[in-house]
Amino acid sequence: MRILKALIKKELLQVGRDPATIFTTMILPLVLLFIFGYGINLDVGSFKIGLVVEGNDPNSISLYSAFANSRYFKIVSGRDIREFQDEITASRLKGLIVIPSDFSQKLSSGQKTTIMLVTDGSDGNTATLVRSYARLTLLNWRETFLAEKGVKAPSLIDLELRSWYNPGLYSQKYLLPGSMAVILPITGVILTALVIVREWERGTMESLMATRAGIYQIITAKLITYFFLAIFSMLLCYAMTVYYYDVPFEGNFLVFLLIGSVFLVTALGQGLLISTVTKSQYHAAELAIISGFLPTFLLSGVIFEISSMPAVLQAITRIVPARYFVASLKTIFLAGDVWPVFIYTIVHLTIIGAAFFIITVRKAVKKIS
Amino acid sequence: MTPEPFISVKGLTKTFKGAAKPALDHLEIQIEKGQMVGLVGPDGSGKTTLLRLLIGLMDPDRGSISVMGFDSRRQAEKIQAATGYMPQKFGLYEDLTVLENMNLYADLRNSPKNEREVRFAQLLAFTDLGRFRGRLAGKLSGGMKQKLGLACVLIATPDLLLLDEPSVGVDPVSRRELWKMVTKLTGDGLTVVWGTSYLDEAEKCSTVILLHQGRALYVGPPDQALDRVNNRSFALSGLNQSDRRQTLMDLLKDGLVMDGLIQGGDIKIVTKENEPPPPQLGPWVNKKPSFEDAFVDILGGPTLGESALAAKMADKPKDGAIVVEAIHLTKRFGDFTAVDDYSFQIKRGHIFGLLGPNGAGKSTTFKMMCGLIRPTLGEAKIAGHSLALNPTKARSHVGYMAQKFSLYDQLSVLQNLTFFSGAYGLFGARQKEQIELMEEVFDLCPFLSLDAGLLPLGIKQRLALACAVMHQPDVLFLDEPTSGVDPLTRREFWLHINHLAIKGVTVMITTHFMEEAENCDLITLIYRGRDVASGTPDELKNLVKSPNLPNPTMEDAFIELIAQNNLHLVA
Repeated sequence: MRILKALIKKELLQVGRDPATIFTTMILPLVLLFIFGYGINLDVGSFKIGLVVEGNDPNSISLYSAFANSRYFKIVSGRDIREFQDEITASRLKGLIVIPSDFSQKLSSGQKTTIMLVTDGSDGNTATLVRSYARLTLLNWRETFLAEKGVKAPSLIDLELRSWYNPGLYSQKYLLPGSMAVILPITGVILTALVIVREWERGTMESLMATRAGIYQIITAKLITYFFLAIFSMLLCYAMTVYYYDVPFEGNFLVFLLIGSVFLVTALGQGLLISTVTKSQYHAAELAIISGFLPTFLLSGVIFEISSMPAVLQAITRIVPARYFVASLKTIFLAGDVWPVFIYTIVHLTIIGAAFFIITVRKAVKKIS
Repeated sequence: MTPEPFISVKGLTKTFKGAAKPALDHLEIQIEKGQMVGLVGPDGSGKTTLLRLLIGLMDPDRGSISVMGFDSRRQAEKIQAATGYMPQKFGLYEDLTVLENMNLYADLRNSPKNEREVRFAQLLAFTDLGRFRGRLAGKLSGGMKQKLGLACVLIATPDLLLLDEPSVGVDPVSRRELWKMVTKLTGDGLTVVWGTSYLDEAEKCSTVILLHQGRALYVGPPDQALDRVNNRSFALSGLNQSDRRQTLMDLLKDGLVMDGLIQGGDIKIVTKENEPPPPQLGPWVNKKPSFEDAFVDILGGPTLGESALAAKMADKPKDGAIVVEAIHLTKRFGDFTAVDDYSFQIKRGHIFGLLGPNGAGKSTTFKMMCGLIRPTLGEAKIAGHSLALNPTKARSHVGYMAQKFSLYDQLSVLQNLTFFSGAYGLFGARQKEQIELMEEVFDLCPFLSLDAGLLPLGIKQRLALACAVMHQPDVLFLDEPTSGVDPLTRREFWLHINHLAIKGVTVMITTHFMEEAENCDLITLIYRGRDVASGTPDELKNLVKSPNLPNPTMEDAFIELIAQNNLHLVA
């Protein structure tokens, strides 16, 4: 115990002296949150689209103003579809809506009427967004229109779009909580792997092992120190997300800490495993980024939806710890305490973490070889 | 029943995974308490492995080790508790201060808090680090780091001290200080095992273990090893400078002697067993043999009589022209002056030695002479071409062998040769011809398809030299070419260098081995960026001759001249 205390004291002194460690645990999370908060915005603000109104009647104008007033669109209006041909081709316009000249006439006579929406299929993501925002706008307008007319919902299907937990569909609200799963492994996996390998590289591990300190104590001291550093990063991220970006936190804070800790232990296990299979900082960094950072970024579901991935990738995501953490993070922030989700997360993380530690113990040699 | 020896190694064999030969092969060693044990051998001979086995950081494959009566396999913790072990890089935390490092090791060694203050005070006084207790270990000089490393292992007053090459990469001044400190400790009954590749340190130990390729060639007191070369070591003086190289080469080529070296103006030889020195030259003066003579004799003497490399090389004109010239070279990094107004000239066919402690400015000078960094003031010229104005032309005359192994580890030997010959501007038939010549003269054929990183150190250094001389340069720059190699490889290198000099190649060299400096025609001792003394080896030795030091060695001269300069600075 005294040895462990001495070793932890040493770790803390070293952390305090190392600008790189302070940067990675304090500054880097903030920078990344900034990028997630402002840089990666999947809403794309408002789309610039062309709007052709062929008629001049009140109904057409009313629909026109519905689009013009929508916060999703910036409207360039015209009288003829041909005016916009080039703009669409050059992708300066993300879409084109045509309200035909017989729109109002058909509407008044109770006939089925159509408006045309042209989108750019070469940018599928944007096209989909434009499509759904346009539909949303149209439905909203129809509701008001019918209400004004005093008509009681004659339409056969009344689609009511409602996004729970994130009514405004602000992507920040699900990106920011999820981003913690990307930020925490930086301390948990990368930094942990590096500092252990550094002891080997500088020959200090050898001289510690020749004292009364055993390798397990040396490593435990490191894990404890970096666990708390990572928890600190996590709290920093939490504070930023909730207080600066105003993302709601619906769940229980202690539960959040619990799940975060489980995830961190798994990450530390991964870092530890990397440090036992490599003996140089260079290789450790390489391995940690490839196995720790990139999968979390790409395969955890923070940015790319797992259900829309090919089956092979979906299978791979099952061994990415962040995947389970992301699910719980989104839930605890936006929905609240949903225990089935949390238990699912904790069970899976525990299995993956245990696997890391078991492999490490098998690989780790008590003596130098 | 005789008591068990302090350290007892029986039938010890250790083979690493994937290695063809065992790292340690059937060692039998017995050491009594209170000895100063020199564990000597070239790099890769198994010194570190043996030390790690002794302290139980590794287990032997076969055989057993007992230290202070404890078995290293089962009772490693008991051995570790009573032993201080300083690994090669001293085991210090560079981002902790002197005192924090000491506190850490005191905690880990369970040194009682109340005794700590007294012990620390003693150690800080002993190592003279008292003034630096708040300084980060990373900011200490190499010599001070060593002392701190030593202080850290001495905290718990161990019974056994294991030091792994504490003197590697350290200049003679610091080496001697450390040696004095450690010998003082053995006086108090401490047993020390001192790993080193410096054979002269072995002579001063009470017991020597001589390791070579994993085998113990000799275990016992150094005097006994010297017996085999007693009355076989002679010196010949009065030769002029250019003659001594030729004379020595003739002696070695004709197989008249077992071993021979240039020592300043003298030639030193070791005769073959039961044979007198060659009578046609003379008069020979009997000399005290060194431990290195014994080592070379045990190994069977150098194998080469002449340098096949130089023999195949075209003669350079014997015009006595100045080929390398430094004119008022100065290099400043910020407000730190690394090299200060340094001038020298090297004549064709001369060997120029650049000596100095670590951080004196040797490497910076080297880099300026190669055109790798630009001098702040002054200029460097090679074969009349200024490195600043005409760098390509100037550099085409130079072959450069950098400090440490600077070839590509992941390329094979042949690929390295091909790459470097191309980089030096060789192509087509001439490239092929030169590569074949190098394979032949450096005996590289068995290794051609092997990755360079996997070669033994001696072969690596050979390959590096081959890459530097392939384009038959007029000038050869060698930055510590022989550090860590065994004495036979060292002799092979100097045979090439001396023979190349005879052919008219101009050589500039740095080294930590003072005996090697004896081969030079001219030496400059550089300290704190300034030229402190220059002259022939004999001139430098004469500078420090005094009643106390009637027969100074090159190392004495080095230490004395640095010390005088320090006094000068203080005054």
